[in-house]
Amino acid sequence: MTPEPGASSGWWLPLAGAAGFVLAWEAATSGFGVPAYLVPSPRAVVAEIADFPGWYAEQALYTTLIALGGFIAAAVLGLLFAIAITESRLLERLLFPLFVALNSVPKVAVAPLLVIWFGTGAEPKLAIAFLIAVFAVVIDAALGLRSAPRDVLDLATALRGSRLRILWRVKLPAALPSVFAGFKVAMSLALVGAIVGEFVSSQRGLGHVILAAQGSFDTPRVFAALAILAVLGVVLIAAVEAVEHRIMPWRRGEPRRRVRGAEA
Amino acid sequence: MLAAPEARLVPPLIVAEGVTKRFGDVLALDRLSLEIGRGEFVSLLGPSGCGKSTFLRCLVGLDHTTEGVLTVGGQRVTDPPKELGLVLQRDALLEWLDVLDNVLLPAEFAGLRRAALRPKAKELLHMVGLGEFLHAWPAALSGGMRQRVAICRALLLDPPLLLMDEPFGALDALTRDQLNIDLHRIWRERGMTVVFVTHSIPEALFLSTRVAVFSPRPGRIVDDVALDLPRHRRLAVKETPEFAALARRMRGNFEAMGLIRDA
Repeated sequence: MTPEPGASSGWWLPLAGAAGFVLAWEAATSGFGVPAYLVPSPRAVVAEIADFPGWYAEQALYTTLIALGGFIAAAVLGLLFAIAITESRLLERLLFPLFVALNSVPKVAVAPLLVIWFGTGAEPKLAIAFLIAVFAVVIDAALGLRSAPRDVLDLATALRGSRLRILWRVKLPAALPSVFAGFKVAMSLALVGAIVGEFVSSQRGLGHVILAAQGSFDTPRVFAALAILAVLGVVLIAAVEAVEHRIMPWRRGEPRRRVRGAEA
Repeated sequence: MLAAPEARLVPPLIVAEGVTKRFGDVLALDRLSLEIGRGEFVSLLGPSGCGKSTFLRCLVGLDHTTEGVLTVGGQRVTDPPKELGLVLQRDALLEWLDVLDNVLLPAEFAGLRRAALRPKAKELLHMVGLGEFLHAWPAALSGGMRQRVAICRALLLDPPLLLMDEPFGALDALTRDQLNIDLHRIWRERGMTVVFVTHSIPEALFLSTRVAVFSPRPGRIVDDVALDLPRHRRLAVKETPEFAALARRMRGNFEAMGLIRDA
């Protein structure tokens, strides 16, 4: 059900939560005199970003593009794979256990191998972001594709619908809520993947910033990169949610076009 | 109202001969035979789990008979027959399509141009009092309204055969009475053949020209009654002595099978 309008629906609530967190952080660092090389204060982190805004923007953009690229590949290929294994019992038996097995190999451990294969450019990072993100898409999309109500499928069969039409008109729309749940997890995992990729070998991106700053005990810089990553994560998930909202108007509970006197 | 002698010259629309259906070790239908003529409104009346829905699913081609012959319009049922309307207990509306698009679904699935059938769909929705809700999402409708939409969808292509599996079973009593009245009017006006699965005696008697009573599993037909009630019925028909006598006979069937024990 939609939440009741009132105190709990204010747009400012998430901001208040974040502001409270930052205030507590500031109080803890200045109140207990924590040295900046361990935990810098929020002010120090903001100052660090403000000193090099263009440079941070560049690094953040690079990481964002890697994460988005990996996510899109995971979304498209993951959805197609989920369709393949839910439409064909044979393909499921043939490929799904293999897929699970391959997924169980830690991606961090595969990263050096990808560098050997793809070099030190964007490709291995995209590959890691993709590999980390794709599992969530496949699992959730497959769950969603199997969730179409039995009676609706019966009706579609009775209407002599082709498999393609039933997939397109019934199974895929029914799967969308699960698909988007998977997309959201995949989006944040793709960001993790991008950072992992940059850790392994990179001259650019927020992962590289963190690694380089760690080498010189530049903790404010590490925190600056982490703060940007946190904001990035929120923005990317919000973008997925915006698409979700747009693509499933029927879940918003509002009429598609104006309806007069819509009683219960 | 039952197929009169001269009507026998026209081949029946549905013929079941010795239809048996097994699910593993469970015998759901046991050598069931039944003929249904064009234009009849036949209720399959029986307790839950007696196989009447299974029989309907076999008619739709969603399940297959284990033994026996089942034909619709002279064709053995293997795939879902063409020109068939189906209404299920749960309305089976597609939540992601608005009311009008839900009603137009059979056109789309049959590869017809939706635009050509849009006036027809609107007319049907107006007929059942949903003219104001063409573009509402199913989630915004009540259970009774949703089932009306499902009925409109089943009627869109004017199927000569309408199959209904306990379509009003999940509705409250008042809504159910109203939908019974509406369905009966639609049938009078259109004259299609209806096979209607229900476990409600009054509903079966109010709607049908003929009632086939199912035994508990394995399903067989234990009584087959042509109803001598006026073709044009009002709810008040339920208070007539004829209706009471028929209801008594139906109840007698259930008592004989041990399904009801009167105090």
